[in-house]
Amino acid sequence: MKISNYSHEQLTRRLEGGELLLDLKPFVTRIRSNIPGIARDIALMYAGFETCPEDAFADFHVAVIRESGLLNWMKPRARFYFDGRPSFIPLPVSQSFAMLEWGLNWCVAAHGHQYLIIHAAVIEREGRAAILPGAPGAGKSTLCAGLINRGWRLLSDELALLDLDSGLVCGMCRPVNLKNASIDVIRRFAPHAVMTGPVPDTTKGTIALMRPPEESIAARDAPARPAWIIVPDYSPEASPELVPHDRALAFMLLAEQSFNYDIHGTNGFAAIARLIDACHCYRFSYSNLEDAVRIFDRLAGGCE
Amino acid sequence: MLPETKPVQPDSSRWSPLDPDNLQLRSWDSGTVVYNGLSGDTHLLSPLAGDILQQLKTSPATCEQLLGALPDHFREQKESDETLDIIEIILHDLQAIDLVICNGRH
Repeated sequence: MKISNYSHEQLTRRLEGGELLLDLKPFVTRIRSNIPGIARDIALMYAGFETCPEDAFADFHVAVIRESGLLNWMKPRARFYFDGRPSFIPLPVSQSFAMLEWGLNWCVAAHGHQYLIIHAAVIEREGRAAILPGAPGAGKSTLCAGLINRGWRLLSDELALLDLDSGLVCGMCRPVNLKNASIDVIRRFAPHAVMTGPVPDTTKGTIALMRPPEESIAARDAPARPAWIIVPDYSPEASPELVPHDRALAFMLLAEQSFNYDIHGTNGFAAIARLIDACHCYRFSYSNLEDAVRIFDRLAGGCE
Repeated sequence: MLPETKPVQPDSSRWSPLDPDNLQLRSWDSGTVVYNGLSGDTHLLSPLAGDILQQLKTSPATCEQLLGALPDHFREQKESDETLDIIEIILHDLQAIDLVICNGRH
């Protein structure tokens, strides 16, 4: 049953009882929460996602629960729980859904070791994936959000899951994290995109989440063959430029941006080396999403 | 009175990887990445340093032997003392990050 088939009351009841099993292929997550805003935002962001039966196996058991006590009555806060244990510091209740998203990222990054997990956005066109690694602020989520609103399929805006055996990459097609100025940039660029309300004063500034396009959600369990590694570099004054990137440097960037490279040892080294060999490596400077769409479309068409 | 001068002896120290079975290397035109299975560290090396390490993985060698084995890197270089200095500096750098060891004069 899809999230969109639940009424608000049904979703709230399932969340309160810890009976909502969200199918985030390839992981299933059991979610519990007593915060009304979580039900609203799950309904908005995960409308096209399937749920699993209450007694199904779940990879992760998480909760976002309102803290009790006088202090929390005056300034309501919520805390993320993993396997029944409190994790991370409490945050204002207004940040509950963002906390759930960040907590889910942590669950995958800290436990999904059947994959090499790279901090990167992944988008796909005609079976070929572009992996966009980069430090926070490099503009990868904004670029990703722009391109998936113009024909590219979203695999992930945050976590690239590389299968070490097949060399294919998959993602969970979860909502795209937008921060600060990027929120209005995407609102202008894709006025029909569905977004949560902006949440100010988080550790990352003001954040909002954007629902992936329906086509991306429908194809979310299809992995893709990596074809490009593109390191985005947003700068307000930058001219659009796609230039070949040093492969050895690209290797080091992927290793640094991997959450579990050290766990995989020689297999991780070999997997990244194969990935670099299989891909064209570029650095992409941009200041404007229309330029990005034009250049990425040329790339997908084989013109670069 | 001037001190007696002696001809400079070439450094015949023999270098080898610390543990060749635990080193994974991958080279591209721009450089080499190496994974040290003993430490879990990954290093980015210049093309010359990568070729030196690859050569040592094949067989331990002195600076002179490395110079002879890697002529492509030194076509522009006229003075062999200079090139030997470069190789020795690189070997000491590789030693500092626990990729090679010096086995003394042979």
